[in-house]
Amino acid sequence: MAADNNPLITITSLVKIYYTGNIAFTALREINMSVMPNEMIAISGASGSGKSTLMNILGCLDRPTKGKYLFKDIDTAVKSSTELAHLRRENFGFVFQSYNLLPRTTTFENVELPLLYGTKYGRSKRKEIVMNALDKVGLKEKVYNKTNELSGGQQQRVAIARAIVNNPSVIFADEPTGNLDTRTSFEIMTIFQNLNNEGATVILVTHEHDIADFAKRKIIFRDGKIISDTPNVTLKIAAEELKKLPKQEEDLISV
Amino acid sequence: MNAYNLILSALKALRKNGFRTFLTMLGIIIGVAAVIVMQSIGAGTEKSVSERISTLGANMIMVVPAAVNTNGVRMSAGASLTLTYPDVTMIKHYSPSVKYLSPMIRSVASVVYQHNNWKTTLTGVAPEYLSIRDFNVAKGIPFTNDDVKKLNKVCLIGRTIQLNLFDTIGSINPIGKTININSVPFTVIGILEPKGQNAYGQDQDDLIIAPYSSVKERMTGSIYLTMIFASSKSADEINSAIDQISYAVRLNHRIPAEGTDDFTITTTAEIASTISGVAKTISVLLACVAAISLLIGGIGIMNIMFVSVTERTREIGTRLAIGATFIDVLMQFLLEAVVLSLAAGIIGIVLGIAISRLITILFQWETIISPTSIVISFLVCTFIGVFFGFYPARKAARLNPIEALRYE
Repeated sequence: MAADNNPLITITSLVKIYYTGNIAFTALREINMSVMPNEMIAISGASGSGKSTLMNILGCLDRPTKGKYLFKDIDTAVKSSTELAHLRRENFGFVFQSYNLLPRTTTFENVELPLLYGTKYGRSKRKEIVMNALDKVGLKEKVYNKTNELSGGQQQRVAIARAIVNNPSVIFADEPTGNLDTRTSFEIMTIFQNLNNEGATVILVTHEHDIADFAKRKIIFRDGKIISDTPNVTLKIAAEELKKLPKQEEDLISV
Repeated sequence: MNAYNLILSALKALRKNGFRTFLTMLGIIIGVAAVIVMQSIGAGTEKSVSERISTLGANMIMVVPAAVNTNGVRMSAGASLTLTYPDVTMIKHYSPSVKYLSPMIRSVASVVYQHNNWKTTLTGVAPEYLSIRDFNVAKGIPFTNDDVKKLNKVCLIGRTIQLNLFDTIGSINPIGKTININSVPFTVIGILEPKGQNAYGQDQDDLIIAPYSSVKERMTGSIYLTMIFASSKSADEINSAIDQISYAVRLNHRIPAEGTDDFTITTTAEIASTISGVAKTISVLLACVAAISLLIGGIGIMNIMFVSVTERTREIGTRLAIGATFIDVLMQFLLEAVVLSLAAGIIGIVLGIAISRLITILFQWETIISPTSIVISFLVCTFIGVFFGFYPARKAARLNPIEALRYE
């Protein structure tokens, strides 16, 4: 992180138009924003406001119709789809609302997957990296369990481990707590805050205000435009919020 | 992803739908097994046919009277007799490539020994005939040119004759015994080594061989020969021998340059090629069946790969998001198809070998499994996997990651 005052992400006049047959739908209208390293941003807004579209473009899963997107001073518009795949592999981690783990595989296989693409780590080195990532999400003991044997929160933690296993500079999370209860949501947010404290840039899309409160910066979308972009003055620490929740029986047992 | 991890992930994916994978492979399994069995039976048949044909005698040449027109009626080959002993003399003179030469007079004969009788073929030949046909005398001695010259009433008998005329257990030694052939007494001087059936299924041991001069003078009385047997000095010289024989016989028959032969020359090679021609036709038919089975198997693989791509759309989306490139996804699915068809190929080969063995055990058919057919099966299976797996794999690799991730 030598160039801490250089933005990681810069977008200017970004426009995205979807065409369905002859009908054009403008999802993003002239968006301008930049992201500094080690930020933690929550993007919120009603559905259809363009927040997911923006995240897909930022994650290089989609291309803008117009405008410029610079990632670490790289113009993504001139990159081929293979080059973008390499960019994703080396710089981004993705966490989805519905986890998107490979069916009928173990925790280990899921977390190992990004390492199998491109990087040339040997088997033992891969195992070390995977175990390290699982340690960060507190799921080391479930390493050889099939993912369908895990709870929703555990599955999402596997997904986070998979997202961070390549040591990415940006973690994108699209409604990461959308399918989870409050307690588990807070657990997940604790992990994200810890990762952020360790230096990772986290960009998450959420429509839940209590989740957005855990981010340092809040961006609100409406009709494809940013209507507010402010530092979070009511920043909460997920680990502390978790302690405030009433204890559950299973917690007592597992302790 | 490197090759090892790709193969590993392909195997895992195929194992997840074990039964479906097996059903998909069936088409290829049956096709490959059919190819292996077909080839092994074909090669086995060819070998046993050529072995049986070689019992006729190696480098053997036969001269038989040709089909001729008599007053507008076309007679079948051999119906009209045109060959005589001077033809043999002429061949001997004009054919340096001929090693052995023998005239043959064949007639049906009733043979009697004491209270046993048997109907067989009496073959009057020169002593060289035994060499031409690879007959060996198992017991006793062959007759000689001296016997031919003196019109001696001596004969050699085949195993079938021995069994029917004397006794089945062989306690009576036929040598030195006198048998009546069409009421003419002949002395048995030797027993031929059994040859078994020839390529047409005829019993080659049901015969009596005697000097042609004795048969001609003492029995048939005709100047005509049934046919002439010869053998060339080597396999290479067989064609020149045929030309020389043809020249000699035409000369003796005074056939003008533009006239057609009144005789036909055939060789064992020709007989072999006729039979192997039939075997080839059957092989081609079986190969067509196998090809159709493999084609349908390939289409089955393509179908199931499309199903698999659709089922795993979200997985593909996830892989693309994680950083898999077009090539990564293409290779993953292509390899799955290749592994599928190769595994089917291996099972097919094993099954094919097992069935061939079973056929040998159950029906006593000779089967030969050639390494070539196994190698070809491997190559064909790889090709099928690549060919039929490519289009589904490309479909997977071309998926839009966002749409794939949202796919329900």
